[in-house]
Amino acid sequence: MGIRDLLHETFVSISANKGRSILTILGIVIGISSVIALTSLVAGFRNMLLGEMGFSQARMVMIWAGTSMTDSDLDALQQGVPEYEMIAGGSYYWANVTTPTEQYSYSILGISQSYFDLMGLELQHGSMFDEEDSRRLNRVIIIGRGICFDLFGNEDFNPVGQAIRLGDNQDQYTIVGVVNGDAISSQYTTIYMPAQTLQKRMTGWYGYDQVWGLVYEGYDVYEVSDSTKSFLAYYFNTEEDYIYIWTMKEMIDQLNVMLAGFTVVLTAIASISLFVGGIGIMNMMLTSVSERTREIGLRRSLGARTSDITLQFLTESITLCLAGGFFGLVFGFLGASLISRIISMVMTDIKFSAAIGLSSVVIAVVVCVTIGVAFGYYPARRAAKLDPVESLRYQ
Amino acid sequence: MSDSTTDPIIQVTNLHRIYETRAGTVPALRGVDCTINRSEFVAIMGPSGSGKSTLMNVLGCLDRPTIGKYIFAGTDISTLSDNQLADLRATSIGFVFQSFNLLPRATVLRNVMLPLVYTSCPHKEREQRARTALRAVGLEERFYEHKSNEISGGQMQRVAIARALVNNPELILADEPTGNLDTATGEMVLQTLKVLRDQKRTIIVITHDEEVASHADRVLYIRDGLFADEWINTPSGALRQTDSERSITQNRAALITEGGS
Repeated sequence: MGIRDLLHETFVSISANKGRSILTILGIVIGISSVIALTSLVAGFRNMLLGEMGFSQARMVMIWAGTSMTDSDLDALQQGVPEYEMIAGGSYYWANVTTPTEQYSYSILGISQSYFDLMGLELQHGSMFDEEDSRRLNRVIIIGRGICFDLFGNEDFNPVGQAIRLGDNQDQYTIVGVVNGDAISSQYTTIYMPAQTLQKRMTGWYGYDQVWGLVYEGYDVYEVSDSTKSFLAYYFNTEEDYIYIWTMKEMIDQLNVMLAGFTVVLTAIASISLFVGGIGIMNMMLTSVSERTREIGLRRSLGARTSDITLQFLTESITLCLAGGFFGLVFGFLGASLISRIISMVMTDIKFSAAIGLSSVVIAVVVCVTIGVAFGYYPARRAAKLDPVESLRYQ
Repeated sequence: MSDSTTDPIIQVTNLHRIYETRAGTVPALRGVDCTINRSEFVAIMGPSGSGKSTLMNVLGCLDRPTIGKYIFAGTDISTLSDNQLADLRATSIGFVFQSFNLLPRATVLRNVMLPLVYTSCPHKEREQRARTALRAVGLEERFYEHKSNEISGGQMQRVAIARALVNNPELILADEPTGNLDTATGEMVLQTLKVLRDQKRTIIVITHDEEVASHADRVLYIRDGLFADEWINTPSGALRQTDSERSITQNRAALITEGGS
């Protein structure tokens, strides 16, 4: 019996019982749509965390050397560990911003020139400060959109060129840019300025609190991390234990493990529906075998092998499951998109969209075929094992 | 138990078919011997429960004998696997059932093409062969695309015969082929079977209707799982018991009587 014959017989058989077939595959539809919707939402959540929170670069390394590092230390590190594509430093500070009616307190980050490139940050308005600003200790700042909202009433407002009073001395600083980023991102409420400006005009001490490095693509982040630790221990003449290096990859791996666990739990819950759907398929196939006993006897008398009968019923159950899987995919995608929109509408500060990938389709197809085989095999074998003589007598 | 021949298609020797039931063993066939030649039209008659359907199932390779030897077209059936038996049914045996056994969802043409699904016949040839078979049984072309439950009983049986023919089998086994038909339609079906016999096919009809049996070349009477009698159809149309078989018949009858069956 060829594939074309199998598909034809399957089509005829299923279309002869449309209502029953549709009801039977509902369990599969619900199961697959639940799994697809949940996994798409979890993947969307992961993408949001990695993308919006600035964790998109798995090649990033955070370095605490146990002591403040200067620009010359960064240059030495760059030469000592050439696997870094770029290295940036940052100094933290807190300062008040006073308006005629309100006073706000924001985190200030004094940064080296390559910080924005390394972090993959983009400006919504204005431009990045340059070497000249650093050298001249210009009072220039880039603010987050949240600050824009606080100070100007609209996070999309373009305040470039405007000045605000900042710090204990309430000196005037000119806004030269607004950095992109939603409410859950750290840059949303951060003020950036050249590190030298911060150090000279606000903190009074020199050196970076924290250093970030971006490893060239193709290198093992963990190995570069070890090299960095060894180099800095030698460079600062200290123990490796005093140097702490934390990689983004480590965090992303942890996040992936956590989300994978979350996905497994959700999928396991949704799989209950798939299991029930599978039982429905088996029940329908057993009913079908019983109703078509004479037909099975006839087919055997006309020369059908037991394998032909097995294949015929197995193809029917797999086709039913695939049909359920198809509608499950459609409803799952629609459901995930709908939930994404609702989340985006309710939480306007964040950009959330379900991540619907080809892998979901592949997984759904594999799951459906597996269910079709697992729950269709017993009825199919039962049909194939029917005695042709008894089957022909069956009323 | 037949006339001597040089071209037997069926040779059955001491055939037993015993069923195991909860109540014990039930012997349906108890040592059947017979030879059927190619191009013969044989009727097997007997009362209900005599074993004629069991014999048809064994001869049609749907069932295996418990004891005894069955040689079909020179092949010892007992040496064949289930798959080989299925292949044999697909290529060499055609069945016609009393209740037609057509697939109601399928068209007439699809029903006739069904046996070809289990052979290596190419798709392109199937419809052509089905149409040829349907023409051979005299069904009008306008019915070919009808669903099988949309045609009359006589037409259904002709479709069933066409389905039995489509693989060009050596043997056609018909179980009460006129049982569900009126007299005129039954006569038409029997004439069709006789035409097939004339086309060098072997026809075996299971029946309890003497009118049906009168169309056969030879009639085998079965009772209590044994052939009890054998008659041949004379050119004048009258049935006559063969001399050579009379003594065997009597011996069998005696055996049955002694056995208390």
